Amino acid sequence: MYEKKIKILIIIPAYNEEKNIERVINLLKKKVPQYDYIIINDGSCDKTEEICNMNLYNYINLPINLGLGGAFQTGIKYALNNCYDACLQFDADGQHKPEYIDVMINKMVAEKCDIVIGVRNKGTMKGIRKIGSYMLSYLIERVTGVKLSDPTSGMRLYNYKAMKEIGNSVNLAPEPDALVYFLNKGFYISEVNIKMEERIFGKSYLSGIKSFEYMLQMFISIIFLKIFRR
Amino acid sequence: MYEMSYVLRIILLIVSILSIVFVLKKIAIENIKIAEAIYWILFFGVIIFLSIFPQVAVYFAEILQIESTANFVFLFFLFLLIIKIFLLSIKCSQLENKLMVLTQYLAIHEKMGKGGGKVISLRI
Repeated sequence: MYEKKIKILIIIPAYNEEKNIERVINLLKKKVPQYDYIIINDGSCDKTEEICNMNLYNYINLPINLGLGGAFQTGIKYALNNCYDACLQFDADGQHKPEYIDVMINKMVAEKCDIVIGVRNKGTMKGIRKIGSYMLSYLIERVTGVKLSDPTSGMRLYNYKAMKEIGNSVNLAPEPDALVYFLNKGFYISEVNIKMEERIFGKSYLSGIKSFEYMLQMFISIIFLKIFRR
Repeated sequence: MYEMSYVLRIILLIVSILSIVFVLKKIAIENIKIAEAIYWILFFGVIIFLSIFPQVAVYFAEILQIESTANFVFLFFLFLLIIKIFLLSIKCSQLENKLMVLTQYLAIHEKMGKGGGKVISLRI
């Protein structure tokens, strides 16, 4: 009943997702045909573009690789130009389930919040990822006083106010430190429990030394930026 | 073996604290990306560490048989800076390459838009 009131865009950043993209988009079209989606092909060097082109998917083609932040921001800018009220960040690897999109939107409408995070079940995460998530969540609680149980989750819904912030900034990649920035600015963030699929093809962009770098960056960024970024 | 003098330590401390504040200010006005600024924050963090705990620098200077600890400190930061310059040089080449790809993409698309025809993929 709320669906008609707000216009939602599902943003799907895709980098080398030729094996997953078709399955994900078909599932989206089947489960939530009432929402618009856009694929941001982030300079993939595999057949992602051809697949999008062949199936007449709605996609934007970036000629060079910008990374997750840049690709997502492209989607946000597209949404702002096309008068969408809210944006959902959705993974192209098939880990996110379209069933929960409605749940998240209803939550946003009911609680009038600015950002809704899809929270994974802690039990399904393993090893270093789980520890990292716990550490970040503890740090965020210490810095902002707000408990976010899964700050690294990639399924997030942003309203117009948050979209405008992301669209104009160079430092708001969809990562935990951006959430701290939003909390400091007085945005209201709420959470919804979701289930996630295991990744079928390909591997996470966070592995080994990359994840160490990621954690280091998040920690420094969260601790210092609380003081300086207003 | 010479210890680091108090004057040098205090100068290092003050200069690096000011520099960190400067870097953070630059982040605040979005002049620099956080990912890029991390290196500099850590860099000045190490200088602060060495000026508060000079024993560490003395220890390494002894191992490397460098007569003056201050020389070790200079050598160490010189090395860090050279590495950074090299990484910047790599980044610069990548950026040049990206700019080239982007320009060609734009130009060819414009040409195709005017004259029609199939767009060739220019991905690197």
